[in-house]
Amino acid sequence: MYKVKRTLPQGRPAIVAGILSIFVILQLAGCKDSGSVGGGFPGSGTNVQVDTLELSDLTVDTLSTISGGLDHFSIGRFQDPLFGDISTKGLLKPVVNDSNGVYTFTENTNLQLRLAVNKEAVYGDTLAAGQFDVVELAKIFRGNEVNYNSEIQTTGSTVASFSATNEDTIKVDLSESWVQKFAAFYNDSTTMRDSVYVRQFPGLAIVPRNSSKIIPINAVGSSFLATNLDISADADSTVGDSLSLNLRDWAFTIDRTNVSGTDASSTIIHNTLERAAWFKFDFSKSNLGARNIVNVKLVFQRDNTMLNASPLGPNEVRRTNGNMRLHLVEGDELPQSIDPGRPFVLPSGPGISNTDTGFYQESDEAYFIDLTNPILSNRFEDVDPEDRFYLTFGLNDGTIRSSIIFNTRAGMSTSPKVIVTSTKTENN
Amino acid sequence: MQKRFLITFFLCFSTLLTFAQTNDGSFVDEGSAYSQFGIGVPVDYGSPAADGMGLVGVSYMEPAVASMANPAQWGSTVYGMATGGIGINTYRAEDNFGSAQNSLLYVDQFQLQLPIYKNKLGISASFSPYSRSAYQVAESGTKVVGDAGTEDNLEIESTNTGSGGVHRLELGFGWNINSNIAVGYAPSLVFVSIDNEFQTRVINTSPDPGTIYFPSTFTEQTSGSGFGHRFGTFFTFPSLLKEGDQLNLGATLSLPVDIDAERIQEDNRVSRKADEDEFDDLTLAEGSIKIPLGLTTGLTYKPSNKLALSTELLYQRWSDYENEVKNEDTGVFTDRLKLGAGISYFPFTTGSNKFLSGFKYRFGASYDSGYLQVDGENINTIMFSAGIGLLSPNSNSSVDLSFEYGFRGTKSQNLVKEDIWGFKLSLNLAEIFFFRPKLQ
Repeated sequence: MYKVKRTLPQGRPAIVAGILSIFVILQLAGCKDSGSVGGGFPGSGTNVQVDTLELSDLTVDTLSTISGGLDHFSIGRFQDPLFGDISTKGLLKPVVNDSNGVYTFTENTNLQLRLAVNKEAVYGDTLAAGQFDVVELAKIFRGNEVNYNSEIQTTGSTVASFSATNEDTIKVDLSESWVQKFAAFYNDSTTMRDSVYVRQFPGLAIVPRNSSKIIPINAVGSSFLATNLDISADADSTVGDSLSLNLRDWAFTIDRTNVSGTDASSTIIHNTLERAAWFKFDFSKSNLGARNIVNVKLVFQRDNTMLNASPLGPNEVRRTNGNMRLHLVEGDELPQSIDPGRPFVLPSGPGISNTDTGFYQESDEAYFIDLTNPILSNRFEDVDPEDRFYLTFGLNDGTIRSSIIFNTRAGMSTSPKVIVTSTKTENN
Repeated sequence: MQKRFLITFFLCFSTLLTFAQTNDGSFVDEGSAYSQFGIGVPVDYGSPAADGMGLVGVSYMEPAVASMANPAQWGSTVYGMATGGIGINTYRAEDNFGSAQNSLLYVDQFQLQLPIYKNKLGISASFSPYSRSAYQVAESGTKVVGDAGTEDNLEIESTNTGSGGVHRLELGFGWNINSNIAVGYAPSLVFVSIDNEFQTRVINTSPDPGTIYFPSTFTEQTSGSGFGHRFGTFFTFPSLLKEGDQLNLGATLSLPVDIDAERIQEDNRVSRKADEDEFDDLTLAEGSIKIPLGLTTGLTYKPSNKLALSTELLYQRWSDYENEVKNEDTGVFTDRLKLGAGISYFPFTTGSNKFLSGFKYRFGASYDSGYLQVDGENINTIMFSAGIGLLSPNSNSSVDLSFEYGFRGTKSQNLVKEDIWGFKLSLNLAEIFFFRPKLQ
């Protein structure tokens, strides 16, 4: 062992150490640049993998749902060679309230029905005139109790007739006799007026007389306009000389016959839930077989062959626009879990903007339902195997839309499938 | 004066921490690109005294500097000693596709070395790295997925960030059998903890990008532990060629270590229910990681107290390395041979009061054949080292600064060539806290 002789000048090592350290550190601890090397080494990155899983079955179900109180009610008749002969009857009934008893119906009062047309959803010949009768209902109806397939009864008494071609608003003058029936309820000054009106005044039905088109009527935008009213002497000078009465109840029924015998590999779906499809599928992580999911989508190929094989006439349009919607439903939750229900439609996540999904993509001739978000949120981990996924088409809003998709009997390339895209390393 | 010495050390230490940060405030944490292989790049740490010579120090020791290089050296312990260090390496790396500059700040070893019987029997407890994995690799590419008619054109950007390594917690003893022969043994707990975080962005560049792809982030975690055994022997031959000279021969043998390990993937999904904080991690693989046998031997000749010449050979049988929890670790490991030589010069032992005579000087160079052979290319390293030791005027403690420069790898076969700059700061405490001179 050597013998240490410490004869250093006091303090100098400290100074030297500090200077040297700072100098070296400034040289070495340079900023990191943004480059990257070594990307070609084995196991350095991730691969994107796509797995395709097929649905085992797609079953059609007919659901009886409420047709009243929706945004629209449809009137008319049209013969679609693919989706059947469709006949719809509208039911409606005005309110009886007014502004503080200002108005009184008289023998001279006129009542005009004003129907707001949703021209974007007219189904059939857009240029032809649709012929309609407005008839008196034999029984009362409540909008929230009428189903699409309900039977309606009329007195046979025609209140008015009209034709509609391409108007924004259809205006129909109602018969004097029916107006006076309504006036009796309207002018009733007793406190029981409203309840008596609801229980005893049946309302009107709009019945098609030809098969040119089906017209969706915007319920909120429609009204009854009363003129030639007796106005109270106490009324404010600003009170107008006419009275607009909104719809109190509205609904419609559908009678669909002669539906085309579709290919066994195709399934027709309507937005009215007359036909919806369901399937069972395990979307849990273990069944999907992928951990690092970046996308999961359900793909339903539209059967454009059948659509094209059943062409419509000149100026006729078929409403096939809408998005496929997926609902998870327990057996005893039908149909309320579907309508109004909350379909899995909105993908969201870090860096992902909300976008509606399930729409038909022309380039792919298919509907895509993005399920990434609910799967990443573990939504399907504890689903009962007996629960069903219902596939519906578009919003059940009182318009009539349909689509046809390939089902599980179709070939590999067109049958419904679940496509799982994930990232993988060499270890997982 | 001791106070000033300590202030200097902590000034250096804090300055190092301050500058070793990136612009966003986080510590620099990327090292060699080759550390993505296996369990990371092996760390050949032994003694702060030998760092400046680029050696482990298996045959070289200084009585007032703790050393982990050779368990047999612990029998010569006179002072109670402790050592700890911190360092920073800067890597300027290039391959055929680009370049990058990374810096890695690391805390090195902690060691406590105590005499049981002075200069006869000593013990050591230490915590030190065996290997270090610290890298970030970014890749981008394109892929077309889906069937004809429904395909998506994807642009994929992925980043793989690795961190961690293998560490050992070692407790051992050294015994001087006589004045010429010493032996030592050190069992250790060896444990691995390596995280690999994979971040992937998938962008749909199709003309009609109907499908949105979520980003994916997940971490694969390798962990496990095993027991290691290290044996050492140290021979001293005084007055071999002349009066006052000394020849030392040292050797250590590290037996292979079987680490019982698992590789899991942390679940990165959010919980749907408020009372569920996390989901189960997925076990990707379970198995053993076999750290290979290592042998180090060296020869040091000291003509006088002032000068020492040392040479060293390190061998690790990496061809025996096995990793059952990491699939890609196959076929790239090869036996490693490292040769080094250095010189130390202590002018202060002459009693000179010149300023430049007040330091310890060390120089050295080493050639490392590397433990990797990728696409037929050995990833070798040539390193030049220099060190300076600062003595405490009133104690046996010291601060050792070591610098190194070298280069590793090659750009052929699309591999990476790295220029490496390193700086290390070690604090060696002796007698301050553990031994009080009788005459003080």
